[in-house]
Amino acid sequence: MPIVHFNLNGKYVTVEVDGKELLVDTIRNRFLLTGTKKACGTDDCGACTVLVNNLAVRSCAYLTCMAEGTHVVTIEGLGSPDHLHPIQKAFIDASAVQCGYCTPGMIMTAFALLEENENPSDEEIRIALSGNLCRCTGYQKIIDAVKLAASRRMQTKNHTWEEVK
Amino acid sequence: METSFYHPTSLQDAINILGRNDNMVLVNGGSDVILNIVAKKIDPAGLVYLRDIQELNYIFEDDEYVHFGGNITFRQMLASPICQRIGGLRKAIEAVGSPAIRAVATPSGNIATAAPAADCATMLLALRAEVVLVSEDGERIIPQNEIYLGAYKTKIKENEIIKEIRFPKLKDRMGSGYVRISRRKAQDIAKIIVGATISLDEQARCNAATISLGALNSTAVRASSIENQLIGLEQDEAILYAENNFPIEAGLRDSYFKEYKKNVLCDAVAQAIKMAFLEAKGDK
Repeated sequence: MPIVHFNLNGKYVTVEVDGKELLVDTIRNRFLLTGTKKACGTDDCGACTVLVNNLAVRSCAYLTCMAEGTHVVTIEGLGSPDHLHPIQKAFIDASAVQCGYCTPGMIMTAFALLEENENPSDEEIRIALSGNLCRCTGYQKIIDAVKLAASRRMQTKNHTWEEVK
Repeated sequence: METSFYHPTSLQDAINILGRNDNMVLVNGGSDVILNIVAKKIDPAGLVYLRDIQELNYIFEDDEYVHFGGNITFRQMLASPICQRIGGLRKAIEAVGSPAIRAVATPSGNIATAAPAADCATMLLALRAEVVLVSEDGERIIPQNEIYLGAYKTKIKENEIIKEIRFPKLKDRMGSGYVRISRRKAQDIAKIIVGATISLDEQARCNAATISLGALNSTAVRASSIENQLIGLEQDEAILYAENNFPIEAGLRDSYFKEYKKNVLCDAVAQAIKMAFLEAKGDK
């Protein structure tokens, strides 16, 4: 079986998988990183969104072998319960989480957007999140959370996440 | 059955892998192929991943054509100033899936999958695209409007790779238009897709036109019945003609949306023509 090497949340990992194995299954079942959700399984809902080389991609429509030599970041690589990432904190502060199932995918997508565009407009946020479905919130609070995270970073001296308190 | 995975880094390596092995499936972005694997519609012996072939990753234009390589993604196309200038193409790409899908999916896959409602492929048909295929047997070029055999079926052979897609460069006084009608703004399969290009003479009358239709037949089709009748017309005359003449090429199969499509199609064609006229006049 193919052997795949990639960087997962800052650590280099090696895994032997069948060529058909999905990245979401590798992340969840082999590395037990269950923050990444497998919901629709058909590339529609965005709950399985992770970063591959800083691009938000759907891990349910991405083969593990395609990740060879890449940097993969899951929600666990962004923050932890003790050290929330400012985007996670903003989602809590803006009450953008209800059942929470879509939240990891939303946050990973928001992170990818804010890496490219530090101060996106409402329209740009909506377009970026257009592939992430939420059945609870009605989306407005999620948009508010992304804006809140962006504005908190914009208020720092060097516009970095590390400076956000 | 276990599936092998190949990571060719050159086009020749990929061609050799396809030549040496049976039941290989090409993966580029994977947004269609992987879903077919998950749904057990296909069970390949091996997957050949094309993304790391740098020689397929280019967009450029010369005096005649706009060329883009076989593994250019929709995201890369959107970032390209060449594609940004072609309003119809830009709109068509923006309509594909979602940003996460556009980050990995490719126009090559859009053509090779041959889905009836393929957004970008329908627009490329209006742009008179050609597909450059390579295999152990050499290179051949097929006009896109001759590549389809039916829904999800093309003339692309199992040992062939899409090396390039190209279309004639839009000259001065040429414009493009694209209209998509769907129930949702994002991630919805279109009910109607119309692509258009219009070329104008010095009096701003149409002297050449292409119209493509998607989501209406088993494959995207050209609507030559409309194209031919636009020659010699000014913008308002062309719009009026399109509003009042149903394209005979649109094969409306029995479905829940048949009546809706029948009632809306002419307006969609007229809108795409209007957009192409405005772009041709430099009034985008």
